[in-house]
Order: sequence, then C-alpha cells, then structure tokens
Amino acid sequence: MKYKNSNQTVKTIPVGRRTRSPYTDIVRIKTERNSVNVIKTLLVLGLLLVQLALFVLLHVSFILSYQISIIVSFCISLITCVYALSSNKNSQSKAVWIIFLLLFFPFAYIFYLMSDERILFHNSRKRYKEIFENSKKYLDKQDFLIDNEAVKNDSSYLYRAGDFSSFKNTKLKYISSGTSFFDDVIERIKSAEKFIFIEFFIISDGRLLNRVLKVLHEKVVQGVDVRIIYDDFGSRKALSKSTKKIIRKMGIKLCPFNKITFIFSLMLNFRDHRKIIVVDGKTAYSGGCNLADEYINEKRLHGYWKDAGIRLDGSAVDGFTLMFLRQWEYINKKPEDYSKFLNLYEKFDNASIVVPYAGGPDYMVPICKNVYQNMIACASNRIYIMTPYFIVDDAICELLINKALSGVDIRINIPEIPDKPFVYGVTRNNAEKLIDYGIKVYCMKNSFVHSKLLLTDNSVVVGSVNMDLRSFYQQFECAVYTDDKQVMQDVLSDFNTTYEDSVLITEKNKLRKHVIYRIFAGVMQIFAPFM
Amino acid sequence: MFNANQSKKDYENYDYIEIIVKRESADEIINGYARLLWTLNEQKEDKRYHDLIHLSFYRPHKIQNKDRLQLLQVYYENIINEKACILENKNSKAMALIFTVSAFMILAFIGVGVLVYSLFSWWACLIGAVVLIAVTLGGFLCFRALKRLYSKEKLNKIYKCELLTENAKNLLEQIDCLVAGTNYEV
Repeated sequence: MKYKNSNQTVKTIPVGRRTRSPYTDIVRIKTERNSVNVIKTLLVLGLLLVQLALFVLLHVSFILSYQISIIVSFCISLITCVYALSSNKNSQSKAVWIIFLLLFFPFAYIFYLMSDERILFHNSRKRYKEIFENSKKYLDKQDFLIDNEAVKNDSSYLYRAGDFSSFKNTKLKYISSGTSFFDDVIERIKSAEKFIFIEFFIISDGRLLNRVLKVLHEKVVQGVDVRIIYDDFGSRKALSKSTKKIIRKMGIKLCPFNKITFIFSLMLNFRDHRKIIVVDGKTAYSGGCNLADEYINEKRLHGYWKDAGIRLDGSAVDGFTLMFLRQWEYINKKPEDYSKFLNLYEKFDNASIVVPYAGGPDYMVPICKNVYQNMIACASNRIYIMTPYFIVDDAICELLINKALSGVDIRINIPEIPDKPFVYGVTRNNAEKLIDYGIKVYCMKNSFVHSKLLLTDNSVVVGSVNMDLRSFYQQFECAVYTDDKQVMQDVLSDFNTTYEDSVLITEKNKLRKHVIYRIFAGVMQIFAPFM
Repeated sequence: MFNANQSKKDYENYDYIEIIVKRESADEIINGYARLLWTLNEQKEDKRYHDLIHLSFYRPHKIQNKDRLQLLQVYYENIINEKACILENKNSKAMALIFTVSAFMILAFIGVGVLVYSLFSWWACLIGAVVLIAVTLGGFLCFRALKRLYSKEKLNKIYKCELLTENAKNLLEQIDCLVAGTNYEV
C-alpha cells in the first residue's frame, strides 16, 4: 500500500503496520512519564503489605486460638478509644480511628498505638526539641510595635507557638507562576558567593533540574557551599539514582529526608513538604513550586499548572536559613555552628511585618492550621483562598460558614483538573457544600491549581501549606506571613486574573447534585484525615 | 537523567516540546503553534500508525507574557481535541438505543414465532399475531422517536463544533494580541 505524506513523497507502509491510530485526540503532548524507581516503589509497597498481612494473620490466629483474648482485645480497644479521644488529633481523625478501633478490635489498637505521635514520634520530637533549644540563641527578639491588632495577634501567636520572629526591613516580591519563580531563582543563584540551601518535596529529573544543576555546578567549582534536602517519598519516582550520583560527584551535599525503608513503619507517613531556597543568607524563596518540569509547564501532566511563590530579601531570610539548618542537623545528626550563615542580610526600608514560619510534627501544635484559622477569624471584608485540595476540619469549615453569613466575601479557588481523583472528589464535595452559605467556589479551567494562598483584609500567607489535614498535621511545611501592601495587592491581582480564567460553581454545575457522587464523596470522607 | 554534557538542546536559552498529531491536522497545528511562538524543528513519521506524525518545536526560553501563552496553549489544545472527540463520537446514545430496540424486536419476533409453531392452536396463533402487531407498531414508533433524537444530536454536534471553531478563532486572535503586546477586544 502506498500513500503520500505531507511532503508529497510516496512512501510504502511496511507489512503489518496499522493504517489508523486508535486515538481520538488530534494533539497529544509527548510527556515522558518518569518511571524511575517504579520497581523499587512497587517492591517496597509489596513488602510493606506482606508484612502488614502477616502481622494481621498471626495476630488473628492467636486470638482465635485463645478465645479469652477476644474479650481482652475488645477491652484494650475500648481503652484505646478513650486514649484516642484524649489525643491532640483533630475530631475527624479521632472519629475515623474510633470506627477503625471498634470494627477491627482484634488488632486495630496495635496500629493506633504504632501511629500515635506521642509514641511513634517521641524520639524524633525529642531530637527536634534539642535542636530548637540549641539554636534558640540565634533568634531575634521582637522589639517593635505592630499597629494592626490582627497582625499583632498573629505575629504574637507565631512567636509563642513556634518561636518564629517577626521581621521588618525585608523586601518582598510575589511571583505568580512557576516559570517566573524559577527564572528568578536561577538568576539569583548565578550571583551566589557563599552558600545555597535548597529544600524541596519533589526534585525531578528534567529540563528544570538540568538548568539549575548547571548553575550549581559552576558555583560549587567557585567554592560555594551547596546543600540540597529532598523528600525521599516525594522524589522517589522522579529523581533517578544516577542523577543523585552525579549531583554528589559535583560536590553538592545531597540529603534525603525520611528515607523509605523496607520495614513497615508508620513513620513513613511524615514527609517534608517544604520548599525553601536560601542564597547567601541575603535572599530566600518559598511557595508552592517543586523542582520539576510540570511546575514550569514544560511538561504536561494535568493541564496548565498554576503555581506561586515569594522572594524575600532582607532580615526575614534568617528565618528560612534557620529552618533549613535545623532540618539539616536533624537529618545528618551533626550539630553545626549556625552563626556563619546568619545576619548576612542587607537591610531594606520596609516597615511591613514578615514572619517566615514552619509547621509539622516537630511542633506540639498544628501551627500552619492555626495561622489560617486565626486569619480567617479576624477577617471582616474578604477571605480569598487558593489551594489544590480543600479537606479541612469542622473548625475551619464552621468558621468560614459563620464569616460568610456575616457578609464576608469568601472565595475558594480549586483546580478543574485533578491530580488525584479521589482526593479531588472530596475537595469538590467539601467546597460545594459551602456554596449554600454564599461562599463562591471557582475552578480554574483546564488547569491544576497548585498555589497555596490565603488573603484576608489584614494579611496574606504564601507558602507550601495546602488546605488539607495532611499539611496541617502530618507534613513539614513552611510559609511566609506578611501584611506587606504591595504583596497583598499583587496576590489580589493574581486572584482576580485567575477568576477570569475560572468557572464559578453554581447549583446547576455542581457535582453534588448527583446522588452517586454524594455517596462516593461520603465514603471517601472516611479517608480524608489521611489525604 | 541529568546529562552534564548537554548535547544538542540548549535548555538554558530555549524551551522544547514534542507532540504527536493527526496527519490531516498537522498544518493547522503547526500554524497554531507558530502563533504561540513555537518554531518547527523536526517532523517524523510515526513508526506504527500511518495517520500520526511527530512534531518537535522550540522557542526562546524568555519571552514576554509566557505564563499567559502557556495557559492559552492548553486552551487551544483542548479545543482542538474536544472538536475531534465530538466528530468521532458517532451518536453513541442513539446507536445504543437503536441496537437495543432492534434486538428486542428480533427476539420478540422469534419468540412469537416459536410459540405459534409449538402450540399450533387458533388462540395461540391469535395471541402471536396480536403480540407481533404490537411489537411491530411499538418498534415503528420507537424508530421514529430515535430518528428525531438522532437528527437532534447531529444538529447539536454541528452547533458544538461551530462554537468550538469560533472559540479557537477567538483564542488565536487573543494569542496574536498577546504576542504583539496589544489589548484583545472581545
């Protein structure tokens, strides 16, 4: 069979070649799906499931052999339920755990005790506490007055809850896309002289990493101290072993956070979701972007990838430097003199309050969640939220409803294209429930919204904290809290631009009008605390 | 994998993209991408399918309004693919219903025939005849309704395609304005 191609030359189709493709799409982007370490991930998952299954089988057969142990197990489960009720977990988690404990009473209490932070994370928290105590001397004390009452309260909370200092004399720049964010980062890194600290949840092989590593390599040759922390779970599929070898060979210090092991442990649940870049103690970056091509839209995964970040120049950079060094010390178990990395900033003439802060299992209270909650509580005109996931507990939900009924303009922007269908189902369900109270829910068309923003009349937060229970309770997060007028204006412009590109969810187009969807969302809600 | 000795591609100064397109739409896509400032670099035949071509493009890494262009590119691709999906979809609902009804009719006819043949009595013949007439009449009415549904769906399809074509045209104008630095007026 012969045909003519677009260049008008005749070519023969080889025998056995199909004439028509089965695809409907006219255009398909060739996206190299990173399948690095897939086998290792599957192996680890398989081994963990086998261990879990063996454990459950052994325990159940023991119980069935000695019938008195059924009664004993039930009693232990009841006691564990009471123990769970007294824990610091949020009410949704408590409810799910109690159902689990009572339904699977022969063995569920063992899983609960294995997962309880007071037991599981005890040693790690002790180490973190030690690191925090030793590094407290480097913290600045707040010695200035804050006029705005709401900002004063938030700043005070962050200082008391986590020893996060408030700073002035810091220049801020809000960056409304991943592309611009990393262009700015690469330009800044080129002029680094002393050190570069990088911490990401995902570091992925690809064009962006090539660009960044090219510059980092030059810097290492010039004698700059380059350190990278990546989350072992977040980067498991994306960062190949050979790339890690090359990075280390370059002279860059590379450390994984909470390495994935073959031994079953619920500690694997705690991940480092932070995104921090510090350059010479003078400039810091944070936001929602990870070091991967999809964040700059040079790889198509879920439509257009909307992200955001913030750049700090000035005294507040020390906040991020300290955050990184503490995490570095925790991973490497080697104390270090932090003083050579601090107080290197330039002072800028800016009276705005800037508070870089972190949250996670290393703190006794859910700082990131409480900051959001406090900001929402103090808002009187507007509450604008941009988040990829909206899985919040009753406290925030009720607060939003009360605020909406009080006339506050509340808008939530979520993606239209999900990255995790089940999580998206719960997100849409939770967001759509609020429509009845006058809260506006927008879905950005053909896009995956990855920005994590909260803007109220008094302040704004830009960081890595999703509006979900994982970010609030189980992940290490970071963000910047500020009342800087320019940043608030830029964030507002970004919101307004995004609304123009979004669809407003109404009674007509909401998914909740379908009964089957409501049932599905209701069932998935059980797993919400773990999403 | 990271390659310290970047061979052909200059990732620092250029962005690259590779797409697979249907042969008959290749020119349209190349023109559309050209408006998004992509330059065609290479064109390759698909090794397996005759109707697919692999196109690779490049453009400068630093361009004005890049974020907006990236978003509009996604919109453009979605419109093209949605149109293809609509055209490919051969009134599946109507077809499914027609098939079901036809199958029902055939089965009913066979059933009636067997009943009449096996019993061979006057009242069975009468019942069979009545059922047959009812099924035929019902089938005829169903067919009429389905034909109307099919025409409606066809018109709907044409309307959707026209709307998408209009959207694509407006989108490309928007892209042209963005690239030229002028304001787009609706």
